[in-house]
Amino acid sequence: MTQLLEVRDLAYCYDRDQVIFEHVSFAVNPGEVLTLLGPNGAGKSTLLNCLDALIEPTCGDVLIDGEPIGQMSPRALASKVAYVPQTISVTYGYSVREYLVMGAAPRLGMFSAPSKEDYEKVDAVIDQLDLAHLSDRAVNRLSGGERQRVAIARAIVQSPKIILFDEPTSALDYGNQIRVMRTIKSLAEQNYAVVMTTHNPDQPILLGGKVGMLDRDGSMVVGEAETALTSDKLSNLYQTDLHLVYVDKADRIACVSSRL
Amino acid sequence: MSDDQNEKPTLPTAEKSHAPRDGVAPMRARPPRTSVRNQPLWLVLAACGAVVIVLLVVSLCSGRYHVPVREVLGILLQPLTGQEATWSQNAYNVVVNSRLPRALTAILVGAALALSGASYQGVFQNPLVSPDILGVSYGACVGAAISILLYLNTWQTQVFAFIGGLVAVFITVSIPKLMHRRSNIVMVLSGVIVGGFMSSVLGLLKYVADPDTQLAEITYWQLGSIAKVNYSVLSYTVPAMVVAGAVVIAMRWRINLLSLGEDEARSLGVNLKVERGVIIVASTVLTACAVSLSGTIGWVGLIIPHVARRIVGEDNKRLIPTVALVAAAFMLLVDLIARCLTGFEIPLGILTGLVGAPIFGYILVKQRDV
Repeated sequence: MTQLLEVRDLAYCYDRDQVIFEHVSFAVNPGEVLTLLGPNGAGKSTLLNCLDALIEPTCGDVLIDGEPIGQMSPRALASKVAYVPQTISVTYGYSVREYLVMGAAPRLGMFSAPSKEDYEKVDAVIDQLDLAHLSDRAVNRLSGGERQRVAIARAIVQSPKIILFDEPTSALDYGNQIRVMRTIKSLAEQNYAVVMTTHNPDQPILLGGKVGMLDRDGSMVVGEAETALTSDKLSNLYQTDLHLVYVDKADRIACVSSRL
Repeated sequence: MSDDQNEKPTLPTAEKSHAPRDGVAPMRARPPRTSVRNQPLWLVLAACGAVVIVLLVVSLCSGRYHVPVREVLGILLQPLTGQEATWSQNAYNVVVNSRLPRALTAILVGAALALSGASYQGVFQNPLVSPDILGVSYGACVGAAISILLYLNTWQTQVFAFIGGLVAVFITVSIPKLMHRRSNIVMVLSGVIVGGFMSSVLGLLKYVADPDTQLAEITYWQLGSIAKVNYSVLSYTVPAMVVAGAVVIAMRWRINLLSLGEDEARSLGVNLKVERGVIIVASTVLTACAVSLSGTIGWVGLIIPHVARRIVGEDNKRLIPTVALVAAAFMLLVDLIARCLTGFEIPLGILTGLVGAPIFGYILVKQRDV
């Protein structure tokens, strides 16, 4: 069966001897979430960038609907994959509405501009994600949480099948982290394939789905979050004592550290 | 592949959705339409176009030999109205053969420099760059000076100016890449390096130039003037300017995408090499054409995009056409002042510097985060 996103034996090395990751293989299909978990500097963002052809891997294949991404045109790739960066940093003060309509770019030619239909789609997404109060504000004047929601909205305007999130909560306060996680979960429920990087082990627990644990030695273990995550594996991954405990009041497993 | 995989994902719903309920469309909170930024683009362009036309007529009337407005309009509209000439041959010659090509050149040079400035600022995600700061103007000037030394014709001078400009922009863009640093300030410093180098090359070319013929011509390029332009010179330059200007205007929305940075633009499906390359080449052609018409006229490509942003906002879809008209009006005004302020003609480059530097200082103070 052809997988929506398939990664086969991917490796990336800075120099010949400095391996960032190797022998990485996994598949993600519509409605699935894969969380790439690992400590800082493990190469999560590099791996994610390889999935959107922003970085060329040293070896291995990334296939979307069975087609290697290296053979796809930038527009064809962008119509299937949207990328939400860690934080959006925009030099100019485009309004949120103008910023969102840039998501229509994969459907437009080099000399075209967005049509009325593209703006209608933007307005629909603004309403769906409850961003109406931000639509006329300059995107470079938004708070971190607002920027992240706007970046997600632009990814939806892009109408992709796969959305890649690069540490979407790293710059957010706890409340905004939870809100963004809810949005990501709802995207998966709406049939998007989601791949997200994080260094927070609580997030794959919250999201469910698959988890890929990327270690500093460049190896990655992929499994179902429910079964693959254990206290020992997480302690080993982060080189500190971590425990998975059931929290009665929250009705879920949580990852906690030992006393300091 | 399963049907499930072929299905396009649908929109997610927010926790607190404002989607229409019971067929009633939601009210979207938008600020009232009071600012120019919220006015339709055609209205802004019509207003700017009207200012350009008024300044054009004033420019054709004014000078040492005054021609009344009625006569100027009569001369300009005669081909359409077929009106019998009620003006002297002198007035006709002054308006049609002396002031009109000069005014048209001011419009074209202003529009070209500002269009290239705005597109460089977008493509390089840097509001501090302009054709002169990137060294393009100096590079084009060096190219033009070489062609003068080789006794080449106007068309060849234009080609040399283009090559000089392209070499300069290539070096300016390459230095931050070699340093693996892409901050605004590194790009500006890189432009200062290239500008300084080109300036020295220009000094060397002036040193070896024939003091009786070539030196004066090269100095004319450096100071910036449109006094010598005639229809013949314009006919060589206008086609390239129109084509390059049309490309920049047609790709103005893509400049928004390129201004997001390489990774974001690429993830939106932008073919970075092709699209950025086309815009840089078109902008360099515009600068080279402007330099080949008027020599180096600084500040226009830097300040006019900033002024226009304050009028129509930062979206290049609105900014790019507006910038061309605002710059055309600015250059007409500067040329008018250059001709009429004193008994002798002040070089345009000096005037744009005197006007441009304080305006840019004011903008920097008002927008501290530029």
